[in-house]
Amino acid sequence: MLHYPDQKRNRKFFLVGVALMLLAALTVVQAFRRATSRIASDFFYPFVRVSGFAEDALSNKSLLLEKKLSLAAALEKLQKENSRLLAQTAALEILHKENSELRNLMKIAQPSAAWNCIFAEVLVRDPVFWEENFTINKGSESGLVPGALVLACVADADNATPLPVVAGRLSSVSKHSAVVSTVISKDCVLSVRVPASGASGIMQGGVRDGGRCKVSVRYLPRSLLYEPGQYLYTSGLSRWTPPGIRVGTLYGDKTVEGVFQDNLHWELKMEPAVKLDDLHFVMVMVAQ
Amino acid sequence: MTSHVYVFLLLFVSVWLEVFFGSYGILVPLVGVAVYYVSVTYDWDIGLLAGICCGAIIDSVYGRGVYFSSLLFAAVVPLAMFWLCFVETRSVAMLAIPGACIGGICSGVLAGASLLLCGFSWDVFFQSGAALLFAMGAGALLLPSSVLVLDALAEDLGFELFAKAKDKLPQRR
Repeated sequence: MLHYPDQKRNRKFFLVGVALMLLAALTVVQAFRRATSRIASDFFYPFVRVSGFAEDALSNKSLLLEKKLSLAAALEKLQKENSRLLAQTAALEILHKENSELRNLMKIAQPSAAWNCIFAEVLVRDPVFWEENFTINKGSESGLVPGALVLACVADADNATPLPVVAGRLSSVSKHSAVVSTVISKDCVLSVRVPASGASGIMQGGVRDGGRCKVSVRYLPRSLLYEPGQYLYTSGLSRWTPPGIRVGTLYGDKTVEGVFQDNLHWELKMEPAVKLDDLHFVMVMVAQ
Repeated sequence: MTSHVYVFLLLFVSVWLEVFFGSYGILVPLVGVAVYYVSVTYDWDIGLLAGICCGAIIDSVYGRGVYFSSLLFAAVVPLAMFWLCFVETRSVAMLAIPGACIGGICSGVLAGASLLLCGFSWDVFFQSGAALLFAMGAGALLLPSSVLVLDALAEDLGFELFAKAKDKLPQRR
Protein backbone atom coordinates (compact mmCIF):
# COMPACT_ATOMS: atom_id res chain seq x y z
CA MET A 1 0.00 0.00 0.00
CA LEU A 2 1.30 3.44 -0.91
CA HIS A 3 1.84 5.99 1.86
CA TYR A 4 1.96 9.64 0.92
CA PRO A 5 3.60 12.05 3.35
CA ASP A 6 0.55 14.28 3.49
CA GLN A 7 -1.97 11.43 3.50
CA LYS A 8 -3.03 12.09 7.10
CA ARG A 9 -3.53 15.79 6.44
CA ASN A 10 -5.57 15.01 3.32
CA ARG A 11 -7.76 12.62 5.28
CA LYS A 12 -8.37 15.34 7.87
CA PHE A 13 -9.32 17.85 5.17
CA PHE A 14 -11.61 15.32 3.55
CA LEU A 15 -13.42 14.33 6.77
CA VAL A 16 -13.81 17.90 7.99
CA GLY A 17 -15.04 18.95 4.55
CA VAL A 18 -17.61 16.16 4.51
CA ALA A 19 -18.69 17.02 8.06
CA LEU A 20 -19.10 20.73 7.30
CA MET A 21 -20.93 20.03 4.04
CA LEU A 22 -23.31 17.71 5.88
CA LEU A 23 -23.91 20.34 8.54
CA ALA A 24 -24.53 23.05 5.94
CA ALA A 25 -26.85 20.82 3.92
CA LEU A 26 -28.83 19.85 7.03
CA THR A 27 -29.18 23.46 8.09
CA VAL A 28 -30.00 25.00 4.72
CA VAL A 29 -31.47 22.42 2.33
CA GLN A 30 -34.92 21.33 3.45
CA ALA A 31 -35.15 18.53 0.88
CA PHE A 32 -31.91 17.02 2.22
CA ARG A 33 -33.27 17.27 5.77
CA ARG A 34 -36.46 15.50 4.71
CA ALA A 35 -34.53 12.76 2.92
CA THR A 36 -32.25 12.28 5.94
CA SER A 37 -35.29 12.12 8.18
CA ARG A 38 -36.95 9.42 6.06
CA ILE A 39 -33.81 7.32 5.73
CA ALA A 40 -32.92 7.56 9.43
CA SER A 41 -36.49 6.82 10.56
CA ASP A 42 -36.80 3.76 8.34
CA PHE A 43 -33.32 2.50 9.20
CA PHE A 44 -33.91 2.83 12.93
CA TYR A 45 -37.49 1.58 12.86
CA PRO A 46 -36.77 -2.11 13.66
CA PHE A 47 -34.34 -1.20 16.42
CA VAL A 48 -36.67 1.31 18.04
CA ARG A 49 -39.50 -1.20 17.74
CA VAL A 50 -37.53 -3.73 19.81
CA SER A 51 -38.53 -2.09 23.09
CA GLY A 52 -42.19 -2.15 22.00
CA PHE A 53 -41.96 -5.87 21.18
CA ALA A 54 -40.39 -6.54 24.58
CA GLU A 55 -43.15 -4.58 26.35
CA ASP A 56 -45.88 -6.43 24.41
CA ALA A 57 -44.32 -9.80 25.15
CA LEU A 58 -44.02 -8.93 28.84
CA SER A 59 -47.60 -7.72 29.11
CA ASN A 60 -48.84 -10.85 27.28
CA LYS A 61 -46.90 -13.06 29.68
CA SER A 62 -48.15 -11.09 32.68
CA LEU A 63 -51.71 -11.94 31.60
CA LEU A 64 -50.92 -15.55 32.48
CA LEU A 65 -50.35 -14.46 36.07
CA GLU A 66 -53.88 -13.10 36.37
CA LYS A 67 -56.55 -15.19 38.06
CA LYS A 68 -59.07 -17.01 35.89
CA LEU A 69 -61.99 -15.21 37.54
CA SER A 70 -60.57 -11.73 36.94
CA LEU A 71 -59.79 -12.64 33.30
CA ALA A 72 -63.33 -13.95 32.81
CA ALA A 73 -64.73 -10.76 34.36
CA ALA A 74 -62.60 -8.61 32.04
CA LEU A 75 -63.71 -10.67 29.04
CA GLU A 76 -67.36 -10.30 30.00
CA LYS A 77 -66.92 -6.53 30.40
CA LEU A 78 -65.32 -6.29 26.96
CA GLN A 79 -68.10 -8.37 25.39
CA LYS A 80 -70.71 -6.04 26.90
CA GLU A 81 -68.81 -3.00 25.61
CA ASN A 82 -68.55 -4.64 22.18
CA SER A 83 -72.31 -5.26 22.09
CA ARG A 84 -73.01 -1.65 23.10
CA LEU A 85 -70.72 -0.33 20.36
CA LEU A 86 -72.32 -2.67 17.78
CA ALA A 87 -75.76 -1.33 18.70
CA GLN A 88 -74.47 2.26 18.42
CA THR A 89 -72.93 1.53 15.00
CA ALA A 90 -76.20 0.03 13.77
CA ALA A 91 -78.10 3.13 14.94
CA LEU A 92 -75.57 5.37 13.21
CA GLU A 93 -75.90 3.33 10.02
CA ILE A 94 -79.66 4.02 9.99
CA LEU A 95 -79.00 7.73 10.56
CA HIS A 96 -76.44 7.72 7.75
CA LYS A 97 -78.94 6.16 5.34
CA GLU A 98 -81.63 8.66 6.37
CA ASN A 99 -79.18 11.50 5.90
CA SER A 100 -78.27 10.27 2.41
CA GLU A 101 -81.94 9.96 1.42
CA LEU A 102 -82.74 13.44 2.73
CA ARG A 103 -79.73 14.88 0.91
CA ASN A 104 -80.98 13.24 -2.30
CA LEU A 105 -84.50 14.62 -1.78
CA MET A 106 -83.18 18.11 -1.06
CA LYS A 107 -80.66 17.79 -3.91
CA ILE A 108 -77.71 18.51 -1.62
CA ALA A 109 -74.37 17.00 -2.64
CA GLN A 110 -73.16 14.04 -0.59
CA PRO A 111 -70.15 14.73 1.67
CA SER A 112 -67.06 14.23 -0.48
CA ALA A 113 -64.68 12.58 1.96
CA ALA A 114 -64.93 9.18 3.57
CA TRP A 115 -62.45 8.37 6.31
CA ASN A 116 -60.11 5.51 6.80
CA CYS A 117 -59.17 4.99 10.46
CA ILE A 118 -55.72 3.57 11.15
CA PHE A 119 -54.69 2.63 14.68
CA ALA A 120 -51.09 3.19 15.70
CA GLU A 121 -48.86 2.99 18.73
CA VAL A 122 -46.53 5.70 19.97
CA LEU A 123 -43.04 4.55 19.02
CA VAL A 124 -40.64 7.33 20.03
CA ARG A 125 -41.07 10.45 22.14
CA ASP A 126 -38.63 13.31 22.28
CA PRO A 127 -37.59 14.00 25.90
CA VAL A 128 -37.05 17.68 25.10
CA PHE A 129 -40.19 18.33 23.06
CA TRP A 130 -42.27 15.71 24.92
CA GLU A 131 -45.62 17.38 24.34
CA GLU A 132 -44.89 18.95 20.96
CA ASN A 133 -44.29 15.89 18.81
CA PHE A 134 -43.98 12.12 18.82
CA THR A 135 -43.42 9.30 16.35
CA ILE A 136 -45.94 6.52 15.65
CA ASN A 137 -45.33 3.02 14.33
CA LYS A 138 -47.34 3.35 11.09
CA GLY A 139 -46.22 5.06 7.91
CA SER A 140 -46.95 5.46 4.22
CA GLU A 141 -47.03 1.66 3.88
CA SER A 142 -50.19 1.67 6.03
CA GLY A 143 -51.71 4.48 3.99
CA LEU A 144 -50.79 7.48 6.14
CA VAL A 145 -50.29 10.84 4.46
CA PRO A 146 -48.87 14.11 5.83
CA GLY A 147 -51.55 16.41 7.22
CA ALA A 148 -53.89 13.61 8.37
CA LEU A 149 -55.69 14.19 11.66
CA VAL A 150 -54.55 12.18 14.69
CA LEU A 151 -57.02 11.32 17.45
CA ALA A 152 -56.60 9.93 20.94
CA CYS A 153 -59.17 8.61 23.37
CA VAL A 154 -59.85 10.32 26.68
CA ALA A 155 -62.50 9.66 29.31
CA ASP A 156 -65.38 12.08 28.77
CA ALA A 157 -65.93 14.15 31.91
CA ASP A 158 -69.70 14.21 31.37
CA ASN A 159 -70.48 10.49 31.21
CA ALA A 160 -67.10 8.76 31.73
CA THR A 161 -67.18 7.03 28.33
CA PRO A 162 -64.13 7.05 26.03
CA LEU A 163 -64.22 10.03 23.67
CA PRO A 164 -62.01 10.54 20.61
CA VAL A 165 -60.35 13.96 20.70
CA VAL A 166 -57.81 15.66 18.45
CA ALA A 167 -54.20 14.92 19.41
CA GLY A 168 -52.49 16.56 16.41
CA ARG A 169 -51.63 16.16 12.75
CA LEU A 170 -49.06 14.16 10.84
CA SER A 171 -46.20 16.46 9.95
CA SER A 172 -44.00 13.95 8.13
CA VAL A 173 -44.43 10.37 7.01
CA SER A 174 -41.80 7.76 6.20
CA LYS A 175 -42.35 4.19 5.04
CA HIS A 176 -42.80 2.60 8.49
CA SER A 177 -43.27 5.54 10.84
CA ALA A 178 -44.75 9.03 10.98
CA VAL A 179 -44.15 12.13 13.08
CA VAL A 180 -47.16 13.70 14.79
CA SER A 181 -47.16 17.42 15.61
CA THR A 182 -49.47 17.72 18.59
CA VAL A 183 -52.09 20.41 19.15
CA ILE A 184 -49.63 22.52 21.15
CA SER A 185 -47.01 22.44 18.40
CA LYS A 186 -46.76 25.46 16.09
CA ASP A 187 -46.71 23.05 13.13
CA CYS A 188 -50.26 21.91 13.87
CA VAL A 189 -52.69 24.40 12.35
CA LEU A 190 -56.35 23.52 12.55
CA SER A 191 -59.62 25.21 11.72
CA VAL A 192 -61.96 25.01 14.72
CA ARG A 193 -65.43 26.21 15.63
CA VAL A 194 -67.18 27.07 18.89
CA PRO A 195 -70.77 25.86 18.39
CA ALA A 196 -72.01 27.57 21.58
CA SER A 197 -70.97 30.96 20.17
CA GLY A 198 -71.31 30.13 16.50
CA ALA A 199 -67.72 31.25 15.88
CA SER A 200 -64.90 29.78 13.81
CA GLY A 201 -61.18 30.33 14.28
CA ILE A 202 -57.72 29.00 13.60
CA MET A 203 -55.82 27.06 16.24
CA GLN A 204 -52.01 27.24 16.17
CA GLY A 205 -49.31 26.79 18.78
CA GLY A 206 -49.42 26.72 22.53
CA VAL A 207 -47.43 26.73 25.74
CA ARG A 208 -47.25 24.65 28.87
CA ASP A 209 -48.08 26.61 31.99
CA GLY A 210 -48.39 25.19 35.49
CA GLY A 211 -48.82 21.65 34.21
CA ARG A 212 -51.58 22.73 31.81
CA CYS A 213 -51.36 23.38 28.11
CA LYS A 214 -52.77 26.56 26.61
CA VAL A 215 -53.27 26.74 22.87
CA SER A 216 -53.95 29.94 20.93
CA VAL A 217 -57.13 30.17 18.86
CA ARG A 218 -57.02 33.16 16.52
CA TYR A 219 -59.39 35.04 14.25
CA LEU A 220 -62.46 34.54 16.46
CA PRO A 221 -65.08 37.20 15.61
CA ARG A 222 -65.07 40.12 18.03
CA SER A 223 -68.82 40.58 18.03
CA LEU A 224 -69.63 37.16 19.54
CA LEU A 225 -69.69 36.13 23.21
CA TYR A 226 -67.34 33.51 24.61
CA GLU A 227 -67.38 31.77 27.97
CA PRO A 228 -64.84 29.58 29.72
CA GLY A 229 -65.52 25.88 29.29
CA GLN A 230 -67.19 26.18 25.88
CA TYR A 231 -66.22 23.24 23.69
CA LEU A 232 -64.23 23.63 20.48
CA TYR A 233 -64.63 21.17 17.61
CA THR A 234 -62.95 20.69 14.24
CA SER A 235 -64.77 22.72 11.62
CA GLY A 236 -64.19 20.30 8.74
CA LEU A 237 -63.45 23.16 6.35
CA SER A 238 -60.35 21.36 5.12
CA ARG A 239 -60.77 18.11 3.19
CA TRP A 240 -58.11 16.55 5.45
CA THR A 241 -60.11 17.11 8.60
CA PRO A 242 -63.42 15.50 9.54
CA PRO A 243 -65.86 17.88 11.24
CA GLY A 244 -67.23 17.70 14.78
CA ILE A 245 -64.32 16.17 16.64
CA ARG A 246 -63.63 17.72 20.02
CA VAL A 247 -60.40 19.70 20.26
CA GLY A 248 -60.64 21.33 23.68
CA THR A 249 -62.38 23.93 25.83
CA LEU A 250 -61.99 27.69 26.12
CA TYR A 251 -59.66 28.54 28.97
CA GLY A 252 -60.34 31.03 31.71
CA ASP A 253 -61.46 31.48 35.30
CA LYS A 254 -64.57 33.68 35.16
CA THR A 255 -63.95 35.19 31.75
CA VAL A 256 -62.08 33.76 28.80
CA GLU A 257 -58.34 34.41 28.64
CA GLY A 258 -57.20 36.20 25.51
CA VAL A 259 -56.31 39.38 23.70
CA PHE A 260 -57.61 41.49 20.87
CA GLN A 261 -55.87 40.90 17.59
CA ASP A 262 -55.47 43.94 15.31
CA ASN A 263 -58.56 45.37 17.04
CA LEU A 264 -60.60 43.06 14.85
CA HIS A 265 -60.49 39.54 16.25
CA TRP A 266 -60.13 37.72 19.53
CA GLU A 267 -57.15 35.50 20.20
CA LEU A 268 -58.31 33.21 22.99
CA LYS A 269 -56.64 30.44 24.94
CA MET A 270 -57.90 26.91 24.72
CA GLU A 271 -57.12 23.93 26.92
CA PRO A 272 -56.72 20.85 24.70
CA ALA A 273 -58.87 17.85 25.54
CA VAL A 274 -56.07 15.38 24.86
CA LYS A 275 -53.78 14.29 27.69
CA LEU A 276 -50.37 14.50 26.05
CA ASP A 277 -48.39 13.38 29.08
CA ASP A 278 -49.58 9.83 28.93
CA LEU A 279 -50.30 8.80 25.36
CA HIS A 280 -49.74 5.28 24.06
CA PHE A 281 -52.21 4.66 21.24
CA VAL A 282 -53.66 6.95 18.60
CA MET A 283 -55.98 6.75 15.61
CA VAL A 284 -55.17 8.46 12.33
CA MET A 285 -58.03 9.57 10.10
CA VAL A 286 -57.05 9.57 6.44
CA ALA A 287 -59.36 10.95 3.77
CA GLN A 288 -60.09 8.24 1.19
CA MET B 1 -10.94 -0.91 8.68
CA THR B 2 -12.01 -3.10 11.63
CA SER B 3 -11.66 -0.12 13.94
CA HIS B 4 -14.04 1.83 11.69
CA VAL B 5 -16.64 -0.91 12.11
CA TYR B 6 -16.03 -0.79 15.88
CA VAL B 7 -16.56 3.00 15.91
CA PHE B 8 -19.71 2.62 13.78
CA LEU B 9 -21.13 -0.02 16.15
CA LEU B 10 -20.23 2.05 19.20
CA LEU B 11 -22.02 5.11 17.81
CA PHE B 12 -24.97 3.05 16.58
CA VAL B 13 -25.51 1.49 20.02
CA SER B 14 -25.17 4.87 21.73
CA VAL B 15 -27.75 6.45 19.37
CA TRP B 16 -30.11 3.53 19.88
CA LEU B 17 -29.79 3.67 23.67
CA GLU B 18 -30.22 7.44 23.75
CA VAL B 19 -33.42 7.16 21.69
CA PHE B 20 -34.59 4.25 23.86
CA PHE B 21 -34.13 6.17 27.13
CA GLY B 22 -35.43 9.36 25.50
CA SER B 23 -38.72 7.63 24.68
CA TYR B 24 -39.23 7.18 28.41
CA GLY B 25 -38.47 10.85 29.02
CA ILE B 26 -34.91 10.33 30.24
CA LEU B 27 -32.30 12.55 28.62
CA VAL B 28 -28.99 10.68 28.88
CA PRO B 29 -26.03 12.16 26.95
CA LEU B 30 -24.82 8.79 25.61
CA VAL B 31 -24.00 10.02 22.11
CA GLY B 32 -22.10 13.00 23.50
CA VAL B 33 -20.02 10.63 25.59
CA ALA B 34 -19.41 8.35 22.59
CA VAL B 35 -18.36 11.32 20.43
CA TYR B 36 -15.96 12.44 23.18
CA TYR B 37 -14.46 8.94 23.37
CA VAL B 38 -14.05 8.70 19.59
CA SER B 39 -12.57 12.22 19.35
CA VAL B 40 -9.94 11.47 21.97
CA THR B 41 -9.16 7.87 21.03
CA TYR B 42 -9.11 8.22 17.24
CA ASP B 43 -8.96 11.86 16.17
CA TRP B 44 -11.00 15.02 16.26
CA ASP B 45 -11.92 14.84 12.55
CA ILE B 46 -13.51 11.40 13.01
CA GLY B 47 -15.24 12.70 16.15
CA LEU B 48 -16.57 15.72 14.27
CA LEU B 49 -17.99 13.64 11.42
CA ALA B 50 -19.44 11.12 13.89
CA GLY B 51 -21.02 13.90 15.96
CA ILE B 52 -22.67 15.56 12.98
CA CYS B 53 -24.00 12.27 11.58
CA CYS B 54 -25.28 11.06 14.97
CA GLY B 55 -26.92 14.43 15.64
CA ALA B 56 -28.72 14.33 12.30
CA ILE B 57 -29.93 10.79 12.99
CA ILE B 58 -31.18 11.60 16.50
CA ASP B 59 -33.05 14.71 15.34
CA SER B 60 -34.56 12.74 12.45
CA VAL B 61 -35.72 9.86 14.64
CA TYR B 62 -37.22 12.30 17.18
CA GLY B 63 -38.92 14.21 14.35
CA ARG B 64 -37.51 17.59 15.34
CA GLY B 65 -38.08 20.46 12.97
CA VAL B 66 -34.75 22.13 13.73
CA TYR B 67 -31.51 20.14 13.72
CA PHE B 68 -29.78 21.16 16.97
CA SER B 69 -28.04 17.96 17.91
CA SER B 70 -25.45 17.98 15.11
CA LEU B 71 -24.13 21.31 16.39
CA LEU B 72 -24.22 20.13 20.00
CA PHE B 73 -22.26 16.96 19.31
CA ALA B 74 -19.84 18.94 17.15
CA ALA B 75 -19.32 21.21 20.18
CA VAL B 76 -18.23 18.17 22.22
CA VAL B 77 -15.16 17.76 19.95
CA PRO B 78 -13.35 21.01 20.98
CA LEU B 79 -14.07 20.15 24.62
CA ALA B 80 -12.50 16.71 24.11
CA MET B 81 -9.43 18.17 22.42
CA PHE B 82 -9.02 20.87 25.07
CA TRP B 83 -9.18 18.29 27.84
CA LEU B 84 -6.78 15.99 26.01
CA CYS B 85 -4.20 18.69 25.22
CA PHE B 86 -4.29 20.92 28.27
CA VAL B 87 -5.60 18.89 31.20
CA GLU B 88 -4.35 15.73 32.85
CA THR B 89 -6.19 12.74 31.39
CA ARG B 90 -4.54 9.90 33.30
CA SER B 91 -7.07 10.10 36.10
CA VAL B 92 -10.34 8.46 35.08
CA ALA B 93 -12.23 10.12 37.96
CA MET B 94 -11.26 13.56 36.61
CA LEU B 95 -13.26 12.69 33.47
CA ALA B 96 -16.39 13.36 35.52
CA ILE B 97 -15.80 17.09 34.82
CA PRO B 98 -15.93 16.90 31.00
CA GLY B 99 -18.71 14.32 31.43
CA ALA B 100 -20.81 16.88 33.32
CA CYS B 101 -19.93 19.48 30.66
CA ILE B 102 -21.15 17.11 27.92
CA GLY B 103 -24.43 16.68 29.81
CA GLY B 104 -24.68 20.45 30.12
CA ILE B 105 -23.95 21.04 26.43
CA CYS B 106 -26.34 18.35 25.22
CA SER B 107 -29.31 19.13 27.45
CA GLY B 108 -28.77 22.81 28.27
CA VAL B 109 -29.00 24.05 24.71
CA LEU B 110 -31.95 21.76 23.97
CA ALA B 111 -33.75 22.97 27.08
CA GLY B 112 -33.09 26.57 26.00
CA ALA B 113 -34.38 25.78 22.52
CA SER B 114 -37.48 24.19 24.05
CA LEU B 115 -38.12 27.41 26.03
CA LEU B 116 -37.59 29.57 22.96
CA LEU B 117 -39.62 27.51 20.52
CA CYS B 118 -42.51 26.51 22.76
CA GLY B 119 -42.83 29.76 24.67
CA PHE B 120 -41.51 30.61 28.12
CA SER B 121 -43.31 29.30 31.17
CA TRP B 122 -42.02 28.60 34.68
CA ASP B 123 -43.26 25.03 34.41
CA VAL B 124 -41.06 24.35 31.36
CA PHE B 125 -38.20 26.32 32.95
CA PHE B 126 -38.11 24.15 36.09
CA GLN B 127 -38.58 20.95 34.09
CA SER B 128 -35.70 21.94 31.80
CA GLY B 129 -33.54 22.82 34.82
CA ALA B 130 -34.20 19.41 36.37
CA ALA B 131 -33.39 17.70 33.04
CA LEU B 132 -30.17 19.72 32.78
CA LEU B 133 -29.03 18.71 36.28
CA PHE B 134 -29.91 15.08 35.61
CA ALA B 135 -28.04 15.08 32.29
CA MET B 136 -24.96 16.66 33.93
CA GLY B 137 -24.99 14.05 36.69
CA ALA B 138 -25.51 11.25 34.19
CA GLY B 139 -22.68 12.58 32.01
CA ALA B 140 -20.35 12.81 35.03
CA LEU B 141 -21.02 9.16 35.82
CA LEU B 142 -21.17 7.89 32.26
CA LEU B 143 -17.94 9.28 30.81
CA PRO B 144 -15.50 7.69 33.31
CA SER B 145 -17.40 4.40 33.38
CA SER B 146 -17.69 4.29 29.57
CA VAL B 147 -13.97 4.95 29.20
CA LEU B 148 -13.19 2.07 31.56
CA VAL B 149 -15.54 -0.35 29.82
CA LEU B 150 -14.68 0.67 26.25
CA ASP B 151 -10.93 0.68 26.90
CA ALA B 152 -11.15 -2.81 28.40
CA LEU B 153 -13.05 -3.94 25.30
CA ALA B 154 -10.69 -2.15 22.92
CA GLU B 155 -7.66 -3.71 24.63
CA ASP B 156 -9.09 -7.20 24.12
CA LEU B 157 -9.91 -6.42 20.50
CA GLY B 158 -6.55 -4.80 19.82
CA PHE B 159 -7.88 -1.33 18.99
CA GLU B 160 -6.54 2.06 19.99
CA LEU B 161 -6.99 3.04 23.63
CA PHE B 162 -8.35 6.19 25.21
CA ALA B 163 -5.74 5.87 27.95
CA LYS B 164 -2.90 6.11 25.44
CA ALA B 165 -4.34 9.00 23.43
CA LYS B 166 -2.13 11.61 25.11
CA ASP B 167 1.01 9.64 24.29
CA LYS B 168 0.01 9.49 20.62
CA LEU B 169 -0.77 13.18 20.43
CA PRO B 170 2.59 14.20 18.81
CA GLN B 171 2.10 11.56 16.07
CA ARG B 172 -1.33 12.97 15.24
CA ARG B 173 0.13 16.41 14.66
